[in-house]
Amino acid sequence: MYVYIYDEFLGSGRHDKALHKIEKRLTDLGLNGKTIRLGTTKNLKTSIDDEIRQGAKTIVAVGNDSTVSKVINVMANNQSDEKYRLCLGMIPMEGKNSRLAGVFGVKNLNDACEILLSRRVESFSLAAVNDSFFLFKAEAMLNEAVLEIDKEFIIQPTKSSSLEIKNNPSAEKNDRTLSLAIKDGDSKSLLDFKELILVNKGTPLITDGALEIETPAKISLSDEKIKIIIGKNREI
Amino acid sequence: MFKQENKNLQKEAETVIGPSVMVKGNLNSNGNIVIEGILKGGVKTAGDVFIGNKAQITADLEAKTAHIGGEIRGNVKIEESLYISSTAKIYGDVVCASLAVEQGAMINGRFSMGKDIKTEKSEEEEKEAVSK
Repeated sequence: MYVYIYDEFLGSGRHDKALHKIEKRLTDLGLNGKTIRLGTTKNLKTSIDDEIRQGAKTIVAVGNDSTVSKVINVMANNQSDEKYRLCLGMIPMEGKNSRLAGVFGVKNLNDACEILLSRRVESFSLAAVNDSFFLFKAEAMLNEAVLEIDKEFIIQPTKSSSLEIKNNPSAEKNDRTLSLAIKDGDSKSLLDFKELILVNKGTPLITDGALEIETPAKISLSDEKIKIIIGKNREI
Repeated sequence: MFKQENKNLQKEAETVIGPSVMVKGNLNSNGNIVIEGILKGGVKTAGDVFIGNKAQITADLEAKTAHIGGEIRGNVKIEESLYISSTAKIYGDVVCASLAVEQGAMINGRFSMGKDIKTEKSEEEEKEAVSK
């Protein structure tokens, strides 16, 4: 069963024409399912957990990067074994804010329905930040920050810097490491780590360009993986 | 003399401590390390270490090879080749198998060469281990 999660911003009416076209195409392809429209009163976690319990096999994030990140977090945090049969699909509704879908080969609305139909599925590893997850990167502007690396040493930037933590979700991670870059103009610090604890004054971490996570934040590669329906033109 | 080798080492480095960060603690690695900033603690790697001209290190250093251009306060133990450039300041004992030093480098400590030579500290540690 397909469950389509429509993000809150789609309720503005601006996307009605595109949504109508997609819904018609999904029906033609026999991919119609249940639609959940997120709003101020709709709790995403409760909604998705209910659908998993009722036998959903595919959750489709209809929206942008933020929608995908929110859905991934709920799927990965679900405590039941039923989640392991779940796949995530994506229908990108905002070109410039739907970069995650593009990376997985879902470049535009027209291709999205055919990609769901072809159901090419691969597993990707997630990185964890506190109780949240991300696929590719976590970023922050550092402000009086302290980074504890693998409980062995700490790093303190001496100038205003930015931080970028990268996960390669398609890599086989025998060493279970993530990559850290601290950038200040032309100079940068680079290293791989297993566990990083970040304390940063007043500035949150942004994961996959979408979700804000407050610090202190513990960051590591997660044991969780997520199955994603990908297009053949995927970039990873 | 060392510039080309330095560039290659910096490109291949697994860990880079840039000029705008300070590291406190033990930096252990199996790969190459470049240090351009401030480090207090210890550095140990099975690979090569490049220490930039403006780096300030208060730590013992152990590595396969090392290029030192900055300031080190601590003992330096290098398994193979040690290159000390004109801007280097070393305050501590140095052990290495082979050595090249540019004119202008400042070294305050005992120098020992050869694969089996140990620093004063490592001898003391060994004695302590035997007595236990």
